Amino acid sequence: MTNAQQFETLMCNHQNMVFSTAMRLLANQTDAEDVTQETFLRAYERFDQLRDSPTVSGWLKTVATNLCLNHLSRYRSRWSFFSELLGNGREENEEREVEFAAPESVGDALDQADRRTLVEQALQKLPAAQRVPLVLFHFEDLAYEEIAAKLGVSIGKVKTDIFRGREALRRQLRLRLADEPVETAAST
Amino acid sequence: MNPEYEKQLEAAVRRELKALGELEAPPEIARRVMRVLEHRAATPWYRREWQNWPLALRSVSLAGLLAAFAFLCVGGSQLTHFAALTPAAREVSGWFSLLDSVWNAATVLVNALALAFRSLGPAVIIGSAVVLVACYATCLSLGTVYWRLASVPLKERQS
Repeated sequence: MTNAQQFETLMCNHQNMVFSTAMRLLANQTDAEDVTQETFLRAYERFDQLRDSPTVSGWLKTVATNLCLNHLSRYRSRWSFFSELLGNGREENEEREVEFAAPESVGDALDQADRRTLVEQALQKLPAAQRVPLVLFHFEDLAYEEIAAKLGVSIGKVKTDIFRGREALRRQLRLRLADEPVETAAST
Repeated sequence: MNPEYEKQLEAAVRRELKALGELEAPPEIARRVMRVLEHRAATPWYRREWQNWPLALRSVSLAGLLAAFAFLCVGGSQLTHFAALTPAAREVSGWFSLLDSVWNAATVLVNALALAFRSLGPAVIIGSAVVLVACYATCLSLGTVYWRLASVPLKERQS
């Protein structure tokens, strides 16, 4: 098997994971594709070390996550510059009501695939300030402190944003909590 | 925030998100990556970014650049010593005479400013500086207000 073929195999094995990471952090297909491509190009530069490494998956995930965060911070600074300039700015971090095209009954009637699509959509429609820490916490299994360090914000803000993100998901997906009676969940 | 509620909320959201699994990457990504790699491989080293040059060439080029820089620094300072020896060196040093004039003018200006500062007294100088800064801030604020008013569409202002 040639070097290129081996690398293609590595890509096939990990591209879904890398793309999922990017897609959930960026909520934009084109940007996620670009980050996935860049991640694998960087992997190729270190392919000699990664080829037989048991941590290749973690390496790819970390690189993809960092590229996404870089992309978001670049985009955020550009966006805030122009919004300041044009005077129509509302901080991206500002809490806002998210509108979802959720059906009336999201509960048991949906099959698993539909349910997943709905959750993915709900996640992608969260504001970046809530989505990013939420994804880092639940998918990357990072601690609050690590997320705060990565995003350059306080731990308190991370906790608040994650809580707001969860609340938004609960409302939109009509999640039932353990203590919550069924009637209450249905009526919210 | 109620800690019990938060815990239940976290568990419910975790359950939903963990059930998601991976998204399917578009198949063209792998093709795109391979195309870029083929293109890179076909590009000669001297047309790539410096970081992507072979290590030996990077080392040689870096050493060469450092040597050239050192030569220019040392050579420039030594040039004045040789200026009186040969006509060619004198001509070369003549090229730098303009820089010499600029340096002299700058020195005179700085000396004049220092003299003015001493004769006027610090209170007058600081007062003038404050007035200048205030004028600059006023211009900046007026410009910003004008820019905002001019750039926000009329409809938005009326609403």
